[in-house]
Amino acid sequence: MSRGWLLRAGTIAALLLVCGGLADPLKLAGAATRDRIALFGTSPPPPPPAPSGPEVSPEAQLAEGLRHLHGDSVPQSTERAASLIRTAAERGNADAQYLIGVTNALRPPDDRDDAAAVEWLARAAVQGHARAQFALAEAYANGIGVPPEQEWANVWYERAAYQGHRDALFMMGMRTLVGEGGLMDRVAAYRWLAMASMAGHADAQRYRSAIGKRINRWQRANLDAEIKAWQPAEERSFPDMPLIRFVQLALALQGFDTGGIDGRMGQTTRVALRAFAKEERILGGGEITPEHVARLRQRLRNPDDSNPDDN
Amino acid sequence: MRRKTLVTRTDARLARHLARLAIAALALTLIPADFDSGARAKAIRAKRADAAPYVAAATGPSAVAANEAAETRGRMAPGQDQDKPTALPPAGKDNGPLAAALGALTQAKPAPEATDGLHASRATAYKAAMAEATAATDAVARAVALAEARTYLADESRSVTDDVIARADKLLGFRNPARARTR
Repeated sequence: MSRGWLLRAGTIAALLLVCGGLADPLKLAGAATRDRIALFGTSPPPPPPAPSGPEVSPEAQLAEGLRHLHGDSVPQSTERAASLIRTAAERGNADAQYLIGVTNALRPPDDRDDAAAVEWLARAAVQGHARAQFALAEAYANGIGVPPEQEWANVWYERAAYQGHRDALFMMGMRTLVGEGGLMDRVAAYRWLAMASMAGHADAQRYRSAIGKRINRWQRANLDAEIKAWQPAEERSFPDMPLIRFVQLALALQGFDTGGIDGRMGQTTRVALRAFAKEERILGGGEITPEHVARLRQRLRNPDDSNPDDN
Repeated sequence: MRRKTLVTRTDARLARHLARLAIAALALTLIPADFDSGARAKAIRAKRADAAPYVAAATGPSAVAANEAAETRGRMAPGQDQDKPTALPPAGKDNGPLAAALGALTQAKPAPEATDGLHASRATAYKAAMAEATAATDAVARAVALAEARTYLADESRSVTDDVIARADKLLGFRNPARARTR
């Protein structure tokens, strides 16, 4: 009996010794875990590098560019500012990309490069830059630098709207009211305009009141209660309802039954998408791929186009 | 009678655990101090980047990113590197037009009558963006808001946007769209 206890005590002592020896390797393992946490973005981001030196961040380059633009504690030089801002944009800074894209409109008409501007805006927009999304939507709606695509413009208006962009909310209301690039829907228009009004759009309230008189008052009361709880999205919505809505609308216009245009990826939408993919000979199941989107946009641009493989 | 041997079943189990622990400790001590966990992270990132368009296709936003990127490549001139992420000129080359456009941002604030003749919705948007630019304390936020505001004054044709608003006005029975208010 006493031998057994002795053995156990010895085992525990050995265990403690081993653990002591493990202290350093465990520290190492901890560092590796921290690395992994940093990789997956659950820990706070590392501090930005200093604005000088060989490893300057794009954000610092943009800030430096703006200082040169305004002559803020450095000699004013628009050339230097343009160079720095362009470099920041090429390195992926969404604000710099937006600035380059949007200032194209400030050039004299014969010196504009609308196609390049749209490319910069698209780069910023896909990073979730709400202003760029709105500017891109305007480009697609008005055919500035790209062929006009009303249904596709709505995707970008809606994405910007979800982030609380005031004018995007207002335009979604207006476009839904008249059925531009989508279905005409007074209730949805009321909802968008109410949100625009909440976001501080000066004209939205006038339109909201006018539409409010034309919809069922119970419906209006429900909407008002729903809108009160609305908050702009911090990040891009997940799943991407504007894109799903676009796919549903485009499929419906091609004669596929999607079970409604509600922005939800239901079974009927998947079946419709699969049928469309089969018709277009696109690989993939009932999930939206870039190829699906490209083909649907192509079909909407040229409704008479058949599958290019058929020719 | 029960305890014939020194090592009981419990002790044997404990010994096995201890052995496993010792092996694990040995394995950990064999890791060099300068172990580069970054290589693994890089491999994960590369794998993710490859799979991103496919993964994101199901989820949405990046599907469009991929689509827009594909479109961008599609618009490149023949002979240009298709894998290059941008069709735009590299930094430092031909920044003149951009410099001129950026210079317009630093010009004096447009006079109040700058919105005269502008569609009401644009005038509203311009004023709101200018207010935002004025209130911004951060230089980048100010520049971005200012750029947005100035574009509302640009003589860019936004006929569809204006038409949508005119149709909405007509539908709701607003006589003479708010355009008149800004004149």
